[in-house]
Amino acid sequence: MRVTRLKNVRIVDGLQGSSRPTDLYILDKTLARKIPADLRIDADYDLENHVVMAGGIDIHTHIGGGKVNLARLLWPERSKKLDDQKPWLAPLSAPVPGTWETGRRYLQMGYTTCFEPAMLPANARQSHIEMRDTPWLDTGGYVVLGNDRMLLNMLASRASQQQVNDYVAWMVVSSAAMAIKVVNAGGIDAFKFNQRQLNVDETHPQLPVTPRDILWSLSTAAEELGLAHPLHVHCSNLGTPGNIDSTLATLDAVEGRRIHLTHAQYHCYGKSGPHGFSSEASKLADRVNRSNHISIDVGQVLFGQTITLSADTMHQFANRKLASPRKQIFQDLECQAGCGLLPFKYKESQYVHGLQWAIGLELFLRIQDPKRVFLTTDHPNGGPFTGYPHLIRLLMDYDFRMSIFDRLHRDVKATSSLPSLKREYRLDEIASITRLGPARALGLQQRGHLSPGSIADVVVYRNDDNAETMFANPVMVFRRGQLVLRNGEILDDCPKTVLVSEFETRSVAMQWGNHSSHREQWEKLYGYSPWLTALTDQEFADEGLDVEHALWQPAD
Amino acid sequence: MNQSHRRPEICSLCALVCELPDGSTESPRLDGFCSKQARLKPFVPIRLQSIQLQVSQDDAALTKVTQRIEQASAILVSGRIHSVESARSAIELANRFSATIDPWDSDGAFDAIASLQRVGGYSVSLGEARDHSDLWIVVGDDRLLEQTPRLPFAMHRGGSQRLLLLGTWSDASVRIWQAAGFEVLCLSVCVEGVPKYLSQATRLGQDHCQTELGKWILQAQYTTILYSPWALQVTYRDLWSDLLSRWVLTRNETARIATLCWGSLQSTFHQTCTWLTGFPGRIHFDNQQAFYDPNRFAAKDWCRRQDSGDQIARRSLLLWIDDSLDELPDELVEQNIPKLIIGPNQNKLACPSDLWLPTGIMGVTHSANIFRGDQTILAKIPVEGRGSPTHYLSPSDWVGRLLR
Repeated sequence: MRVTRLKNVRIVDGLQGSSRPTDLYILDKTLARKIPADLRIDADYDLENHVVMAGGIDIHTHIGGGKVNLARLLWPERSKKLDDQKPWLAPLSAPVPGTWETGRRYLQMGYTTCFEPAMLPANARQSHIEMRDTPWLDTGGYVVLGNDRMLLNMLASRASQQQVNDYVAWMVVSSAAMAIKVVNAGGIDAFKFNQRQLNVDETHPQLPVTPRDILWSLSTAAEELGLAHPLHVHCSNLGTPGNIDSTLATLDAVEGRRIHLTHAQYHCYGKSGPHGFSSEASKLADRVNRSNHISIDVGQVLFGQTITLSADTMHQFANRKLASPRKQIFQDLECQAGCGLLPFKYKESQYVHGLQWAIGLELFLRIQDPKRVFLTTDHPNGGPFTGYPHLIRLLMDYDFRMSIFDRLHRDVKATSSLPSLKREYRLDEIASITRLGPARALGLQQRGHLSPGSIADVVVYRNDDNAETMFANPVMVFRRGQLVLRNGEILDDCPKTVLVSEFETRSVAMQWGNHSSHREQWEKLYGYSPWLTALTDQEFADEGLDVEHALWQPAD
Repeated sequence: MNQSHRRPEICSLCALVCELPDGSTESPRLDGFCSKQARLKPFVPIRLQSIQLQVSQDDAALTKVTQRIEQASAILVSGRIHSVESARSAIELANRFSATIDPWDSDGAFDAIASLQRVGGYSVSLGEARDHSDLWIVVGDDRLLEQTPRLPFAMHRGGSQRLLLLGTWSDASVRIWQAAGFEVLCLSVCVEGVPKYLSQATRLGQDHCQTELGKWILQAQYTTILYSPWALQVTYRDLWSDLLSRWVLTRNETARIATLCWGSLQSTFHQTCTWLTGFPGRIHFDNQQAFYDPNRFAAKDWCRRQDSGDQIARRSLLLWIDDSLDELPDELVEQNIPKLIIGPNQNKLACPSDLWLPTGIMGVTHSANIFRGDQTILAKIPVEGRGSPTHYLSPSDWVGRLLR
């Protein structure tokens, strides 16, 4: 057994107190606080004035799949490194870089686990293969349902919830998914029939189904199956002024079942104020604060050039004239969803962009439980994931936050309540929004914290008053006990794991695809059998990947 | 995961990646293959037998190959790369030896990519169009059916569906489209002008429309325009695509319409290269960094440049990786550039010094991941129970040995 000791470190994981220095041991691939006296220490690091956290977990980042690859294709230009002295602060070479660069840059920030949030069932194999080619990260994906015609037809014909559950279980297992994601429930399919908006209680143009029906049915399926992560929801009316109403209606639609609201910043807008666009972050934060069954990730906007990409074709198409530069790609995909990609530049001087920036921060600062609000930029939509250290500094340093706020459009400064929010995040709260909270929301019991027995994905940061410098440049990163990065330099490759959801009926879920009536319906719709796109564990083994099953457990 | 399910047999030899009908599972995989390459089928067993004999000499071959690579002053990695596995290997090889990489015959794909990078577009996948489209417009000529004979049957969902054929189509082809179940209107037009015809035909709106073409489009709820860049007889394919894409994007402001750009098996290379490097191909590696220039790093141009002088040609090396059953292109055979071929075909080697590392066939003797032509579905083609594939190395096996 290989033993590594991290001596005199300050352990910060959101669970235990973070006061005096202590020793942390890595025994092969897991963590311990004490070891038997006769055990020899193979590697010993004195880390006084350093902070140790678990490996970061990004709950929502677009890193693999058809639309991600299209974004790479759309943007062949490459940026130059801005700062050779601090390469870890250099911008990504492109808004959506190749897989190797993605893995390297995540590792260089101390992130070890990432989730692609929008895997089409038809495209799940590509998503997983791309993620397999993203080194140093353990990965998983959420399968996109809620615009798939199989489900819509089932709901229209008033199929039983048990039938829906069986279908959802098949989709989760055959896509090797961690969770179900719904994007603009029913709206993407409605757009294929030339409908340009679909509110929560509006009926689909062809079928007697509303988004509320879809949300209720899928959240029920997630809960009754016992999936590790609750229904992961991209609400209706993304980015539309006044969308707070449909966002709150979405939260109502699940009737108290667990729900995760993603890139919430884009879903809490009012339509008052000088430009008919205002913040309703306080309304959403208030709802989250009062409801233990809701978690969110923010989707913070960071200023600069990016590409927005989404399965929400309806709203991406509506925004197509905002593309900068003026080019855009849209797709209608395989009776399941679609995608839209627009290059986009967030500018400090632009009222809407400035307010979006402030709204994201408002959500972080107004939601009290840091284990239910998670740090994301919805990479690349709000900005690149390499902006996380900057975002952490915004949360930890009021003066720094205000120094940027002061540069925004005058109407943002006149109307935003951000200056009154004096809260500054503590280190343990940063650990919660980047590690512990996402791990809990995803049923990853052995990740996101540094308790004895947990997986030895460990990051060592040097204490620094400037949180951006601290979090951009970890001193060491261990993956499953193996030192893979030291002072920015990558030392070694490491084995990779695919994370999927465990649930009670998982072992029989694939039988759905053998049922003759299901096969007939599927083949009629798609023109091929359900097995053409279904993944097996063997495929992961062939690619040299381990599979880890995540299991939801109620919080203490 | 319960593995006791019925997995389909999948044909890997055209971009439709068709599931073979039940009952074919006991017969050789190629029995279900229907494209023009099927004529090569009888030679496959002979070829594989010869491969078996050659593999025993692999150590000597590897030494020779390594020397040749080390001596080369310029290297191009090219070929017909149809699987994720071979694409990864080819890219790794190019990266390691600071080579240029571009698949052969990539002009069609790069014209489509150039247009996408300039304008973008609105496209639709095959399954979506099949289920949802009430009007298909197919632009091109008979070559589309020669390459993918079952495409009309994969497009038709049953029931009444209209299909407009624009371009140069033989009567036999029209009959195939009809046999698939389409109500066909065939207009023999110069493909060059198609974006303009479509735009003009719909300009006046439904009430004033004079042409059958316009009426069909304006009456449709969802129109799909299918074309294949490699089967388009136009002078500037990229500009043609620009015009079509702009019209489609604008038309979607009030109606629903999309294009389906049908790619070849080589789409798999472009996809894989994009996720690994950020670029679809036509890149040159230098010091582990990829530099993209679609105009400078095209395989055919590289060969022409290297072939311009005897000395230059002799010092360069073409690493040809082949997942297909085809022979080496004639134009390449005629060139003086030394070649290292990693593929199932010995080919018509041009120089006595050319080398061949024989392989099995991806998707036949080795499991492979291959994209469907619309690049939405990545099909896994397993080869379990099909005789031991260990008799034949795959291209990635060879590359792995070379890199070690």
